[in-house]
Amino acid sequence: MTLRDAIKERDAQRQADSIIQASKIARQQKIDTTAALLLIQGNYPNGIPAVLSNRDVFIDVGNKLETLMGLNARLVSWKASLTALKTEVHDADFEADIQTEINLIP
Amino acid sequence: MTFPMMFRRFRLRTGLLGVQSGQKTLASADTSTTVTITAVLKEKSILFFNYSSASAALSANINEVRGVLTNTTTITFDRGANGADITINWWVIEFEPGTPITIQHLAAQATSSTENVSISAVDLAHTFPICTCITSASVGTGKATVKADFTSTVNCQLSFESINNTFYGLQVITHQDWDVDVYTDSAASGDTTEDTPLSPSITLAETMLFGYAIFSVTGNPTADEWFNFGFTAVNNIQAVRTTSGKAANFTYYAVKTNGKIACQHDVSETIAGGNSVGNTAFAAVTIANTPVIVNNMANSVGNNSTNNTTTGEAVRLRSIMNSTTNCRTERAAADASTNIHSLSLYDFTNA
Repeated sequence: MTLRDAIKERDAQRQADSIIQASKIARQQKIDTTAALLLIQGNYPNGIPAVLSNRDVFIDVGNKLETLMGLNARLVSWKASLTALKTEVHDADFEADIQTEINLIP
Repeated sequence: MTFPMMFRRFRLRTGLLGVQSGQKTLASADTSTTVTITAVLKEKSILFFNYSSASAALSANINEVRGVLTNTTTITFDRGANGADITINWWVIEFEPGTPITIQHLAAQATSSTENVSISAVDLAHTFPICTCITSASVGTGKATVKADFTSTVNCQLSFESINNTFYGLQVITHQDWDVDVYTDSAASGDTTEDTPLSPSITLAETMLFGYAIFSVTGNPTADEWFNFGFTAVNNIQAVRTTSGKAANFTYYAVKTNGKIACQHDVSETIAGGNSVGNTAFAAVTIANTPVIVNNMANSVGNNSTNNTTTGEAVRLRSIMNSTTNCRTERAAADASTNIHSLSLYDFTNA
């Protein structure tokens, strides 16, 4: 292996590791945010009444939906990156870890 | 370029992944606060912020704020002492994993007024710093101003007027497609303006400016001694203050983005005496993707007010785009002084 190849391999491993760590956190954030939205939905089985006193509820729901959109965008991007990096880490265990994370990203 | 390298380039996504932004209050009783954000890749994310203070005192420990992306989901803002509400506008700009950008996030206590911070090796032709700091010192000693200079590919030197429980937050940003020109200059005690010629000339619409200035003598400056600075022409940066005062040293980073970032600059906006708000018209931007940079001393948030007293609330500014073409700049309270400030907009939509 040339030095350049070794550097590329190290960079790919470092980048993949970083994405995996962030992806794990993002997936948990997605679970937590979805759970919070379901809780709100449960609190208002007939829908949230459109009254002024519920202003903060609507803002909260909007913020959580925005968070979900952001998380989805990131996870899609990171999944694509992990797929691309998988063949460049040249380490069977690492490849397996990457594939595990890819499979967990919806 | 080999075929595998070409193939890799096309598979990894590049450009802007997303921007998160918000406003946070650092309450008067607190010295720190955190913001939880959607998970990001730290090494692909830049934190920008600006803020206003409700403090009637100029005290550095109360008024100066440090911002750090402490982990994948947390921004931490802190200061040396509590004492007044600070209102912070913040942005986290995140790039796709394949973007040729790397951001090193470093935060620690400075033990010397010339602090050498070890960094991973960078290409200095494509690298610039964003640094903020805080201090425990109140008025008169160890004000929280900082200047950042790369002395080698692995060292960023932070200069402080003096230190007193001084902590810094440093982002070292390297983007292979951006070219960085560095300029240093100094202003004498009698100067109210200092021009720094640029060679080669820059294209204003695609060049970002990050500048640092510290006074070269210790002491407590009045508000009208502080400099702001900005591009006044394609070949000039000008630092301005209302009144001659302490000598100062400057380092500027002209970051040429080669058409990737839509940049706009305005060096002479004001909040009139008696007011707390100023509005600046700009060409249309994508609000969500456009942080506002206040180009001044003291953690980039100060001004060259006509106020020569020590009034914190009069001189610290927060700015944000409140429409596609208007930047609203606020100070925490109206003041008799006129506030003159320099603003830059960086629209990252096509990054």
